[in-house]
Amino acid sequence: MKPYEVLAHTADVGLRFYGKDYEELLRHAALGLFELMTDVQTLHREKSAKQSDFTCSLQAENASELFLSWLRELLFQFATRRLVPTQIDFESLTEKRLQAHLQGPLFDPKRHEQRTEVKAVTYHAYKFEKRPDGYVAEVIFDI
Amino acid sequence: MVDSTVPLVKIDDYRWEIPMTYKKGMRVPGRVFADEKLLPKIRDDRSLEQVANVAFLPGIVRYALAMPDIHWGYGFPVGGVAATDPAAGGVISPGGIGFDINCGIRMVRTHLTEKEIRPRLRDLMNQLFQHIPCGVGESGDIRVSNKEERKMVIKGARWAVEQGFGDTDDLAHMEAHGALDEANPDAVSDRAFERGRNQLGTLGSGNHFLELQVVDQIHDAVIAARIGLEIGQITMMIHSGSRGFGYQICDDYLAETRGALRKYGIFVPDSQLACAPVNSPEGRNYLGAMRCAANYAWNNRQCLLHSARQVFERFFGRSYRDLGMTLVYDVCHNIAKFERYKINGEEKTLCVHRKGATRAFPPGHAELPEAYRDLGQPVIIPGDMGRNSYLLIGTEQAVEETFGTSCHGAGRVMSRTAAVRDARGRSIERELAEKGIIVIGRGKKGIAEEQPAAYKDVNDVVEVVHQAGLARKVARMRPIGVIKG
Repeated sequence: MKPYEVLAHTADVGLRFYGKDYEELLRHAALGLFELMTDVQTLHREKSAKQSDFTCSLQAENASELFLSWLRELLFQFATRRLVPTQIDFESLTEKRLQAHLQGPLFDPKRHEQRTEVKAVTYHAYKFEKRPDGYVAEVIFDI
Repeated sequence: MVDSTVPLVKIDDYRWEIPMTYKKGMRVPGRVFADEKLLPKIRDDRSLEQVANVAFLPGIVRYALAMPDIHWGYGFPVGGVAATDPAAGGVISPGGIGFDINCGIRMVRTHLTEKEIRPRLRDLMNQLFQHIPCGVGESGDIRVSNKEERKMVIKGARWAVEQGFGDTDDLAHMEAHGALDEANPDAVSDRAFERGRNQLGTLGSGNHFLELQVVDQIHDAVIAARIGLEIGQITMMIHSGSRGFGYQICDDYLAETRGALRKYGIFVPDSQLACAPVNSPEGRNYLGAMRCAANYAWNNRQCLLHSARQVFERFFGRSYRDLGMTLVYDVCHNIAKFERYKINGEEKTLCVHRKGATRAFPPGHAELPEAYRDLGQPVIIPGDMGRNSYLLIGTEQAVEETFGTSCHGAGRVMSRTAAVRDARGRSIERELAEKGIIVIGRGKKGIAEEQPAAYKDVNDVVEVVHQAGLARKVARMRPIGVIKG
């Protein structure tokens, strides 16, 4: 299963994420979000980059809201600490609550590929669907 | 593409109406400013549907408006305008302002001519690029404490001027003099302050830019002379906003107003249109926070102007005043303001949302700087990096029809993915260099996304605004050097 695909939007960018289960969907969301901003694979391989980590605890009314909170949290952590989480450990995960430890290199604009700054996760045309074979979510990002 | 089937009734060559009967729940009709040439492009995405959705907002007055540069946004279309009446349950919608609160543009004149700078242009552009932080994850050089940041978002551009970044003459030439009253830092989250702290004086990425231009056409010689523009003269535009500070405020209040929908029994067809009555705790808090972000943005553009002036001063060995680098004007693209309009003969204070639209006040308006009072407000319309930009002047017509509003740019026509696909195998930098335009950006992808073909021709957009009488053409510029984040 491909992790995500890009949807056309005139001014911004939409991503459709797939996951065979909720956890995979959350991982793919992180990958898709960070690939908009930089080359995640290169950062993953790079040993010399300074590392950091944080623990995040989120809760929401349902899986759909929690998914958006997750994206918003990742974006906030990138905006303030420049952390690109290449290792994500879910310490606990339900459809209403998650606790995760995220670790990865710090993005350095002088050295790492700069793609597009993601300003925000929008609610516009947001879709979240649980299907027999997994999850699909569509999100438009403001860039 | 979508090929929208939203019904449009032709009023005249530049005005179209989406009837209230299109969707149950529309409180007013939609009014779209466009001509036959632009309409097929507008119909290509979901923006007209979004105009109809905006018409659902409680307390909306007269029309949900769309400027000719309209394109698909989120919630509101980009190029959308809506005025609500707080006295009639009118709402404020964070999505009607957008994430980049007070994203806006400023135009600077100079005494320099193209002839003087052409031979050294590459060098100058490189210096500007090195000195002005832009792109993803870039921090600014200005460091402020938490306490200072709270003061800064009350003072707006005056904060920068107090640090020696410009002068009071700059403040006189900004919409609202570079600061909105009643900004309330207590309504701003710690997260927003944290995101804003390191980004002061940074350009950002996406469609943000700094551009050097040459005046290449004068449409109104009298007004151009009064504003201080002539053929061959170098001008500069800076397009940026409130950075992470504003994005976070919008994000926080979208979540809050989504909750408020149920509380106030409001139905909107798109969550991104979440809103709260202007006269409610949620509405008042958002307004207080939004004003902080608007002030951050003016301050940011003032810091960016200061950085650019420093580069010019070092490069030419002359002071910026000596180089004539003074502000023509600075206008907001994404903002909500309280303004007074006559509706059916009755004077009302309305909450005007402008999302990707420019205020365009007529001659005689009290907020205009002394020098422009009898002319009208300068309306700055940037185009894409390969064609043109315009300076227009505000008219009484806009007050009558669009709550004193004009378009804000060319408007995108191609998605970012389509633009990248379109640029495959080409060098946009080289194509533009052949036209005498030097473009420097952080990444090839960003430049491909922002290539001229991704936008409508600003000449077509401005023509509609001019013909409809919303603002009148004064001067046209063409780009010679562009910095893209």
